[in-house]
Amino acid sequence: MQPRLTFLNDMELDRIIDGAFEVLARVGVHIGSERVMDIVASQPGAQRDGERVTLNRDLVERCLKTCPAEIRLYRQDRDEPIVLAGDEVNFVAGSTVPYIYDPSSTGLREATSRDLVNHTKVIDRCDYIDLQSGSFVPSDVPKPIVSAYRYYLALLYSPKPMFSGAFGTDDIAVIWGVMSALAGGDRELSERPLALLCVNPSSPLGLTEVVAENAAFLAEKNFPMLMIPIPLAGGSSPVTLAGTLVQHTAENLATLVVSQTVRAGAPVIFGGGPSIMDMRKGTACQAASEAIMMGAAISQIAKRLNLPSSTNTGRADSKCVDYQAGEESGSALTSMALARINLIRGSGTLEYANVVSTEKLLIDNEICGMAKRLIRPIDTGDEALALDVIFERGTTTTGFLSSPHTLKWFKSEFFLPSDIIDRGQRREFEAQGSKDAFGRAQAGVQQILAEYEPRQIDTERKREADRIIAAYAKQHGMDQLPVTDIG
Amino acid sequence: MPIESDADVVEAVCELREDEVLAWVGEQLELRPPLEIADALAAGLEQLGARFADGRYFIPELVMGGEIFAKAIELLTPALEASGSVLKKHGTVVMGTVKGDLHDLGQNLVSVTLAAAGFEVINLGCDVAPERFVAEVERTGAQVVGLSALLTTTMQMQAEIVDALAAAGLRDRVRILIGGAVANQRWADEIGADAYGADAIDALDKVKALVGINT
Ligand code: B12
Repeated sequence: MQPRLTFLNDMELDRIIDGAFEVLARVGVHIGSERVMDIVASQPGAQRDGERVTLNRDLVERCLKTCPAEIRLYRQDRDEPIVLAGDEVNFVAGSTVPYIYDPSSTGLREATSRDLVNHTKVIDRCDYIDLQSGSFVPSDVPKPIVSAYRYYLALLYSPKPMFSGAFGTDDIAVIWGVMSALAGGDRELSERPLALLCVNPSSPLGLTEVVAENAAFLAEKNFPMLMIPIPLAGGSSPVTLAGTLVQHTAENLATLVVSQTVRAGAPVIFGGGPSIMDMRKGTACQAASEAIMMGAAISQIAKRLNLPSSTNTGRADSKCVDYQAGEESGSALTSMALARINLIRGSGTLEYANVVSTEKLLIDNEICGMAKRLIRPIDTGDEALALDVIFERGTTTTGFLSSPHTLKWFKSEFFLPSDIIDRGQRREFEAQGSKDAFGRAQAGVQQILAEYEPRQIDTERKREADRIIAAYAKQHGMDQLPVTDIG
Repeated sequence: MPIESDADVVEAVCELREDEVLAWVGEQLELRPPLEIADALAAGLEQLGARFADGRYFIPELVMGGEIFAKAIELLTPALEASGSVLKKHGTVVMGTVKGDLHDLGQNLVSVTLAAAGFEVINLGCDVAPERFVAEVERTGAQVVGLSALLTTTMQMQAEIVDALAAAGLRDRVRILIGGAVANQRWADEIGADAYGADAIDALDKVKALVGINT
């Protein structure tokens, strides 16, 4: 049996999806771009009313039919794809935060380009984290260039596919240029995407100019687009989970209509970060139980609509890398894996996605590994059932350690965590300074950085990427970027 | 429980008994000067704010209390105007999320918190251009303007608005408060804002300090 976490039966799922269709037909969405509005409003089934447009069920269903059910992403250094479809589970490092966790000060400081580079070196070594994210928004470069520079640095320092987003309509073109240079051309990039980009609809039911334009841009390029509405129950959507899911689904569907009307067949991912607003503190709580419940529901809704899925759930709200952070990311990452979300974000993040800790990333990596083990079923085939082994060994005192069956199976049957997870003897624990998980992760980060070896990259392609990013930096008043070499 | 005293009305506002509060206002208008009634209502709102601050009350209750207060004041307004008395407000604050930024939940929360504490709040919503802030400060004579930004890329807009207010000759007239996930005290200093507020409660404290109310 495939282990699976679900919260909704078919009838309940239909009530939510039907609700979303009804919302789009009755109140529709706001579209902040005249150009995109014209494209959408000219479709049969669309009815424009000022800056809003209603979308009838036929139109939305027509658009759903043209969305691919599977998306493939590629590492720069491998031919086998990372697949977003069905029950596949992939983890993505948490992203786009201004602060890095710094236990020596107040718990945070503004992140720099160097932090981003170091963090990326660590992501590269996290075996269970499949996508990178250029996690920080560096404070040492001109603000308009931050997102393009993040793509540039991340893709130089790790071959893992990159996930993040543009901040505007200018930088998306520069991000595209950098990616295209590194992929070896526009066609190569569309055929073998080495990244994906998100657009975030504004709850409630709003596609701003940037969102609408960038959704159209990505569709024109036939490039994977992750849709991330973040309705916060009680704040920007109904207080109930079902009501928030209806609105969230409608926001995804509206964005997808933009994409499919610009180019039928453009790849889209049903994603988001529905959560709750904490009614005492007013914070955009990311690790609430309700975020887990809605995250699992996203997976079910996406599967019902035959779309790849993604969730923000996996982030922590704690300010430190402590028990709370472990509980939050631990239960969220595990639950989202069991819910079979295709792209699970959040590893490394703290303080509702305002802060990232490189040490936490390393600990979360182990959680991701354990979660990937959890979703592998309990094998009950003959060899795994091991009756013969029990017949033979169960009556002796030699035990099972020396059984060839043990030798053959132990590596595949058990998930073996790294030393970040302490399962050792007390003697060893004390000899290494009685460190807690954070202390061990600090040592782990130091070791990875010390062992780092620059990766080889096509010099022609790099030169072109360098040229694009340097020109963009210059345009915004910076002659020398903090980092342009791999090292 | 019928409202029989000013203490009762404080409790009624806190318990969000809208119909009773409004009925009481109607009755009291026959008996006392409107300013006295407004003071009693304000004490209720203040109590509600205190209960929120100490964790007994939640945001939706604070918001609802603010709305009941506003409706009650609306009932009082004709009488206030007729008697030529002015309601003493703590001051006027123009609030908004800066141009290019659509994160409006935080600034809405700050707005309702300030309103619930008795400030007149002009909430401009999100994606607000510098000219709009300048025009609203000019029009309302606000003592404080609050600028929210949650993106690294829109922080710069906070700086531009500080400059725009100066260019319009309003800098001496208005105190500038900034906030949002990426803002901090260092940025406030760098762009020449008067204060940084970390959250809604801090925003209230900072606004009070800026307009010279002791807390
Ligand atoms: C919800 C959300 C969205 C929603 C916003 C919907 C809406 N109606 O508001 C949507 C989905 C649209 C969105 C879009 C984007 N977002 Co967003 N978003 C968030 C999220 C998760 C929560 C924000 C929130 O509502 N918080 C709850 C409120 C109540 O808290 P608050 O806003 O912080 O406000 C409090 C204080 O800051 C303070 N305060 C706020 N304003 C003011 C003003 C004054 C004067 C004072 C004194 C105090 C004050 O008081 C408030 C109450 O306590 C944050 C994460 C985070 N940690 O903040 C990311 C976050 C802000 N977003 C981020 C990003 C990157 C984006 C996008 C660029 C993503 C993309 N590539 O498309 C777009 C940009 C859209 C745009 N042009 O604005 C980043 C910003 C990183 C950076 N360094 O710039 C964050 C930090 C998340 C992340 N790590 O990726 N987002």
